[in-house]
Amino acid sequence: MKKTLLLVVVMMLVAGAAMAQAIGGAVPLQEADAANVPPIPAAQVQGTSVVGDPATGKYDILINGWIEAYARVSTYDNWIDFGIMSPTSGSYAAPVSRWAFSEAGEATYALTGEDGGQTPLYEVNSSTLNFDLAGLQIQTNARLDLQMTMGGYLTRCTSTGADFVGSDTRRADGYFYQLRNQAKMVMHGKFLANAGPADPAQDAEGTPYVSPTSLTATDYNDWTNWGAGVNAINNEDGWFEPDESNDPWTGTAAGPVAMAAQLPLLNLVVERGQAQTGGTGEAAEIWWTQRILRRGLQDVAGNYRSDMMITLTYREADTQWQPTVK
Amino acid sequence: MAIFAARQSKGLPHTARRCARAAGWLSVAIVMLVTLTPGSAAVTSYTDASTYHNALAWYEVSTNFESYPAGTVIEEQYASLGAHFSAGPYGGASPQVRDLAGLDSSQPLDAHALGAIQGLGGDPRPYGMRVTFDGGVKSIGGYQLDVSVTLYVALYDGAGALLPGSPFVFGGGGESGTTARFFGCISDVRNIKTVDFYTLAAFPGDFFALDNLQFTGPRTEAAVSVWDNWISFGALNPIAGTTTTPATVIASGSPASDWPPTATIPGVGGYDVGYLEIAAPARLKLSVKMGGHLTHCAPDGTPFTGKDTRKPGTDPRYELKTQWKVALRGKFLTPGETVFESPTTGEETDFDQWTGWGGAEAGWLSPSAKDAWTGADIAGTTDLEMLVERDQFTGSETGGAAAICFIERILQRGQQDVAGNYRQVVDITLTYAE
Repeated sequence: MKKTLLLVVVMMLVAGAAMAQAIGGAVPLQEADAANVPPIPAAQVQGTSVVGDPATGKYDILINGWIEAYARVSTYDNWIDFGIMSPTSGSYAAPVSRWAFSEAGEATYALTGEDGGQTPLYEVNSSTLNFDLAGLQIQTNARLDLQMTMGGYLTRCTSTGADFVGSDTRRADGYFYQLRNQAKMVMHGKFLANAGPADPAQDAEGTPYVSPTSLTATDYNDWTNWGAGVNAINNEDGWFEPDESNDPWTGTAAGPVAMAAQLPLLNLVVERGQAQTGGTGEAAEIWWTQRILRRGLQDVAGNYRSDMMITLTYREADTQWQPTVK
Repeated sequence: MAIFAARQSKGLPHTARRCARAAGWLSVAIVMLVTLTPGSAAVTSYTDASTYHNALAWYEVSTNFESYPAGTVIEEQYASLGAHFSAGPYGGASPQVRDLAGLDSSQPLDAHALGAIQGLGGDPRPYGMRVTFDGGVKSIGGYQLDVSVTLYVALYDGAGALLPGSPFVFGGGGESGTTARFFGCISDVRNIKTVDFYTLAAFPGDFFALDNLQFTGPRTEAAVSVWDNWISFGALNPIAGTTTTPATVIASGSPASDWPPTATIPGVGGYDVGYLEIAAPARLKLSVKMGGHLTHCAPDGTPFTGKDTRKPGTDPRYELKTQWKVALRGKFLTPGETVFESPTTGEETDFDQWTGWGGAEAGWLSPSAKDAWTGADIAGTTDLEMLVERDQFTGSETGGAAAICFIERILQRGQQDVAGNYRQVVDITLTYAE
């Protein structure tokens, strides 16, 4: 019985070999075969076993490469300087917007004795050169988490920039002396709403972030505007509160000036594949400016500062794939 | 056989019947095996070349003896093909390459043929010539130039037994004509070990001549003997190039660049290539699907399903702008059986010749008909369909095995090429075309 089975198996193998050479049959990987005359050298094999199946005539070729997650940031300007402000500008009942104008803008916006900040290097989406801006340009091939505390209201400091520890006893909350500043921003490129480490997931498209100033969604190569209406800084459009605490004048939730949208923290994802100028994904950029609603001499003398803390971290960084070497 | 087995088991106990059925199986198996033994194979003779080739439907090695000057004694010159020439079974002399001017030829096919002595003076025995094959061949054919004499072709198997129908007789005595006469024999299996050619000489000492002798060669199977199926770009510089001024990166370095087989390919230098060397005794169908651009994948090589929303379409993928070149060694045909031209250089492929790589910026082809960055339509060479011409393998007269070699480059655009792993798979399928 065993002999019988052996013979049948042999027959099947013979039949299989014959089929392989029929039209459409697979060409197998060379094997050293003593029955071949003249002798045929054994196959020389190098590559990977990840693809292909020589037994079925498949000799696929794998091409692979890896790009490390890499981002770089240019801080074009990290200082919004109101310089010297007129002590008498505005009143509690009728506040006056003190723009963060630049040296170039002094001729247009400065009151007597007022001094502006540095003139920006260039105009940013119709900003003109008249306003002091702060901005980042981000070039990244991977998604980044961008978190920025907007710095809150400008708070009194000493002439060395250190904290001024005195409290504003006019405030119901007894907090520090603060100015009523507001911020607006423009964004270039695509940013995503950040709903947590896994949202959006790495392979998910995510939700485009909507500018709190223009109320438009960010997208590749597009600028959001300095306002939902007119694309300009010196208007009443698009300002938001850089703080979510009490009104800095009253120390309560409300004050004489209506509270704009409160945005103490930006929590975004910078979309991958944005760099340099030109192409389908130019470098991502965010620019800010601020204004102060002045109430004249009720804003107490002294120095004020606000620090916007910006953190950029990699959200994704795939390790290098190492295909199996044959 | 089934009737025989049933009769044998009649009246036997159950266990015994099972044994008898087994005996029946054994008998069937033995008989089936016997049908494949060389001695029982049928041999068919042909006098028409076209009919012969259609019936054979298989590759053959062919020699016209033009490689050797007249007077060359042919014995082991074709040993690499597994064929050994000698004097016929009655002695005499080994055949010689003959200048056709010295032959009593009806119509020469070319300048030279292989002549064998018909007989010695006064000796009527058919000397002729013998061809012994290292392995069994399936067919033997050719042209007899001197048609005035009858050609006898005796076929023997490995045991020295005449195959059924041998000797086969071609032509008749006294025939005349101006056309060389085809002769051919095809066996059901590869069992032709020895062939004797002879005539019954009317004029002993004269030669008869054979030309364009053809037989199934020593190779029976096509195979891939050398290959490298991995082009690795390794770690790419993430900030190389821009959209307006891309950086060109050709795959180089490990793992393949120092590998001797690929390093010897003309012009490859230190580049990493994908390389197949193909032994093709028969025509093979070679199908190449380039697989598009290098596409974003996960760290384990599986597809990355995220979409590149910079591009239009419902399923845009993150891709690197990839280009490829190809060099071909040997002769390839289009599916329509015209000579295949390299898509890189436009050169016609030919036996024992490499096509070139073109200039530094010339000859690069897109593996996709879509731009990797924008998704726009572009000219792409996405696949190749061709035939590997037959009779290309180590030891063949055409100069050796066929080969196909790929190289790739990436046009990088800095960080607009997103981070991660990328892969492209070139699907290559080799099947028999005949």
